[in-house]
Amino acid sequence: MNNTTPIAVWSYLVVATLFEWALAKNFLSSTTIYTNIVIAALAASQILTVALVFLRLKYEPRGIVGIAAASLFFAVLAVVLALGSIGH
Amino acid sequence: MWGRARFHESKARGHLGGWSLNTGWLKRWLFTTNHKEVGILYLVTSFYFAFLAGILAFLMRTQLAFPSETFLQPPQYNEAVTMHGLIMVLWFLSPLGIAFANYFVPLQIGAADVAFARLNATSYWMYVFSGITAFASFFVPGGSPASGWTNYSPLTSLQFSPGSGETLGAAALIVLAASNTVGTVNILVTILWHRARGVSFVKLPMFTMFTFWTMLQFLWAFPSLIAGLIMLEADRLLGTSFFTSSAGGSILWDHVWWFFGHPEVYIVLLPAFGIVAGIIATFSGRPVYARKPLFAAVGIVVLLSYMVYGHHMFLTGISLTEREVFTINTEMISIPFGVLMLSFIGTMYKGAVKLTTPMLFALGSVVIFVIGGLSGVFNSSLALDIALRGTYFVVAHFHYVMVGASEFGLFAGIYYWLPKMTGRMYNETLGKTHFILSFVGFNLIFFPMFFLEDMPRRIVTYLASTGWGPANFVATVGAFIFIPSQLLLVYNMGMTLRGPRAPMNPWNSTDREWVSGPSMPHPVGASSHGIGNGLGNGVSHATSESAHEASPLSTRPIILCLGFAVSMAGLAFGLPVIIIGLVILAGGVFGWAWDDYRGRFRLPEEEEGERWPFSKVPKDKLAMWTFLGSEAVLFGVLLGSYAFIRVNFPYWPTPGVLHDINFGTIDTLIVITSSLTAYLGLQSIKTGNRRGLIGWLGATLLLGIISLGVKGTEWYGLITNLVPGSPIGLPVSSYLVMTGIHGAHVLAGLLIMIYLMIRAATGGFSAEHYGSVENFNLYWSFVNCVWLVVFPLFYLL
Amino acid sequence: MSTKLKSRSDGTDVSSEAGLLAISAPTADTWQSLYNLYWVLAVAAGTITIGALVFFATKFRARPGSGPAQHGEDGKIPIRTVLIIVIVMASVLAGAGYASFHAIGVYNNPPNGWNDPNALHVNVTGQRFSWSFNCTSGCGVPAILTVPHNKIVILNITSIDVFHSFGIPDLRVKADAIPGKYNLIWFQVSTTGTFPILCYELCGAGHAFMRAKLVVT
Repeated sequence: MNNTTPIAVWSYLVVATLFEWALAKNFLSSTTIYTNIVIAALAASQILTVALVFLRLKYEPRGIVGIAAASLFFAVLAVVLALGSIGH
Repeated sequence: MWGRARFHESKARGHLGGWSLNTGWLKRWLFTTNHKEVGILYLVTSFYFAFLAGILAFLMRTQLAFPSETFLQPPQYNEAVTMHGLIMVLWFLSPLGIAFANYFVPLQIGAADVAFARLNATSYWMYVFSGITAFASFFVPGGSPASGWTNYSPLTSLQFSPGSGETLGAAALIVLAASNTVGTVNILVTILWHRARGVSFVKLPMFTMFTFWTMLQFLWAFPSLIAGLIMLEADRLLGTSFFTSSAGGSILWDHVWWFFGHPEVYIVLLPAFGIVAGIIATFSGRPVYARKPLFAAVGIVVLLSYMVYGHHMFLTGISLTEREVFTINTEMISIPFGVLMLSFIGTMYKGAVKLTTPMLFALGSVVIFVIGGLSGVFNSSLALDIALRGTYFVVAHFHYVMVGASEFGLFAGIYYWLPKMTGRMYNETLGKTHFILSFVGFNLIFFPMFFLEDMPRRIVTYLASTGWGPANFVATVGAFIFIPSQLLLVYNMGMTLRGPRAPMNPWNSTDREWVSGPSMPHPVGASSHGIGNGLGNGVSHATSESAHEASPLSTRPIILCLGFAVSMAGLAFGLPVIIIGLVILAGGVFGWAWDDYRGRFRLPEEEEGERWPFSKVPKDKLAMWTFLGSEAVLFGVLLGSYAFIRVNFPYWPTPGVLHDINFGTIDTLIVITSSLTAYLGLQSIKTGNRRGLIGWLGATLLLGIISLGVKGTEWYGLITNLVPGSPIGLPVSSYLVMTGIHGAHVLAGLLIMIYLMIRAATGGFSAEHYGSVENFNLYWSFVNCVWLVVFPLFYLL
Repeated sequence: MSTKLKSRSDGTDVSSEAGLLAISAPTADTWQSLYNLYWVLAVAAGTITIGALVFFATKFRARPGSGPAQHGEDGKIPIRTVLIIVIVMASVLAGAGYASFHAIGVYNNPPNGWNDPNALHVNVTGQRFSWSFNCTSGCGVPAILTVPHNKIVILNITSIDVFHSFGIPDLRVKADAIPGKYNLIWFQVSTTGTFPILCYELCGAGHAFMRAKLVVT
């Protein structure tokens, strides 16, 4: 494992953050709902990248990936079930 | 008292072999890390709590026997009903299951001990101290929590529950939740990593198999409880309004509590069913029927258990679609239980059934479960629940499944395993008498309650004109039979210590725990040199009894837990107590780290047994990942609560108004970079470059401190802008709490880094030996991932 | 249907004799039928299951003098039996669920909608420890709600302090009273009488005494 990949990942994360910053500051003209979706998607991609490389999920056996995926599933489930109850 | 009697007995009978008197039974039991001794500690302690909660039930039933009774005053009754529920569910039933898990899971899978012996002691002492804290709440001004075991909001707020009882109770629950999280990681890693050769997943003995699934439920359910309690304590102590404003409020508490609460009741049930499955097989002389479908069925129960909790909220006004979904899911969960019933009953087919006491309790558990489970189907209907919600029909239902199914199953386990734990036989006649009295008494108490569908729960008294008198009277008669009859069990257990010697395998079971001889845990005298381990343990060929030598004693767990519990209790007693607690906690942690640093508790590598699917994964990494799994749900619920509140709140500040986006971005860049530096540190040590490791860790430490500094500046800005006397608004308070919890995780990471740097500087790591650094990296990058969610959520969206 | 109801000493009437409902209200009728259906299914399922258990435990009792039984190897996976159980249970539960959804339709749909101008609209407020009723036509004093029989009554329920739950057991209606939230229920009674109203969620020391009366004239 050479040093290139982590630095490449870091660069992507920095760029994505700056892009999020620009979107939030309305430097790029776009409508609000699209802005929010893009920001959310960028954040999700950042987390995925960190998980795959810094948390080394790309190289771990299925069991570990299973634990990570299952935990994420239940975390998201809690949020979805709570938010889904709003409204009649 | 029991310990001393046993000590003298056993010494007289030569069980303890070359035991040094210098150790003393007090030192032994306070500092043990041996899984069997910890198991016994759990078992005995759980009985104390059952006794306390049982007295509360006795008082309640006496009060309710007649209409318009004034034996208990309303506030006392409310305290009794609340603490009875909390103690029974969380401090008795669950820990009794854990007691058996501690004692028998290693034996059943052929391991020498659990994965992390000192952590095991830690989870026990957290449990004890949390229980003492909870019980202490009876004696503070205002009395114990009195809002029901469900702690509904806003009754639990400072306004409606003044006094420190609820604060103390919530603090005790946090310590208990921590105990369970630690214990869960421990037992899960034990089952996943320490199985001896030949013990594949499918061949897991029943109790271990059910315990495995239970541990998964623990893992993802308890973080939700912790998140809720954090927000509740923030409301009570810091003036936030997570559960008191209408944006979050009662509904939010309902979601957070029941996402934990519903899996919790299966947590209480499944270990008991594991015992029942094993016992039915043993006393029918047959293999378990439909073992593989059973395995899958329990897994499905675990999965579904998180998706049914809305049935507790049918009348709160949630959307119709959600109510329909929860009805369907709740009905669906009956189906795997049907497969369980098929397996239990089918096992007896063409068998040779022996109705010993364990078998009676096991079969009794199944019969009662059928009734309890069917009554659950009534409650699953969104329409029927309209009339049943909050009534004694529900009380009947859950007592059937929790007392009848779960407790009877656990009692079956006690009788079944007493010969194993003590080497002696219990009195069979007493046992059968206990069963008959319990079974009859139990049904007398709770069956009439199915017909009290109009009677509200948790009422201190009722009018004669309601006509509820006769049923309540019968129920109390049942209580007067059931509760005292439990003394027969305790008496029997005590008598067993002087009872006749039991053969090695009195039940002729083929399960592994019977293959080795009856086992009193063998303590280790002061002369033994480090063979226990926080990181690894055990000798290979764990089927021989000699391999189950006790891990050495350690004073760190009890000190650490005492400190933790005292500091949490300080939430109710004031800052000085918190500080004293933290000091003690620090002492325990330092001592532990010092032990590791000195290489005590280090063991030779264990021979590899069955480790699928984690064969290439070192044990601590597996433990760290498991722990991170629970942390993911903790943050998920915290951040999800934030999202819930925001959606419901009419006037949330737009991005940039409350928090400076530039600051947040800078912080994010720092966080990202610290992940990189930590990772580069790991890469360095993998090539043996210790200096590089220290350098990169130092850089990470520096970046971490800077990011906390940035956060601190923002906090300062927000707090100084608060108007004293008026409530902190939700936007500010939610930010402070969420970033506070995240910040606490960062702080812990910084402390760990300092320890790692010291270890590295004194030659601790190498190219082959860098596990702790890798695990730290996992933790650190996970915490940074959380920030990557917090940042857009709070600053940008 | 206007049966004469027996009175109780507290001024309310007995609405059910030996488990049968003596009053007539769409919500109560719907609920009662659904409840009876579930009882039939539950008794059947329970009898079969417990019966099988008792039958097996006695039929395959170890004969005295027989040696210790051996466990033997696991048999083949009984796929067919498991599937039968799953399918039977799923079908019965689907039927029960369908009946439940049908029943909730009655609860969710007052005959002329929630904005019915001819209905009696009442605002119900729970507080520690009483229920108060408010409507434009003067329908209630504290703790007593008076409505005409055969009139559709729509209740808008909330709380001004903690989580309560408003229930009229005889009519089989109930809804949680949550601060900041408004929950709607409806009912229509064809018999006259007086019926208790109770609180079904622990709200403090006065929870048991949070009683009110519904008077149907």
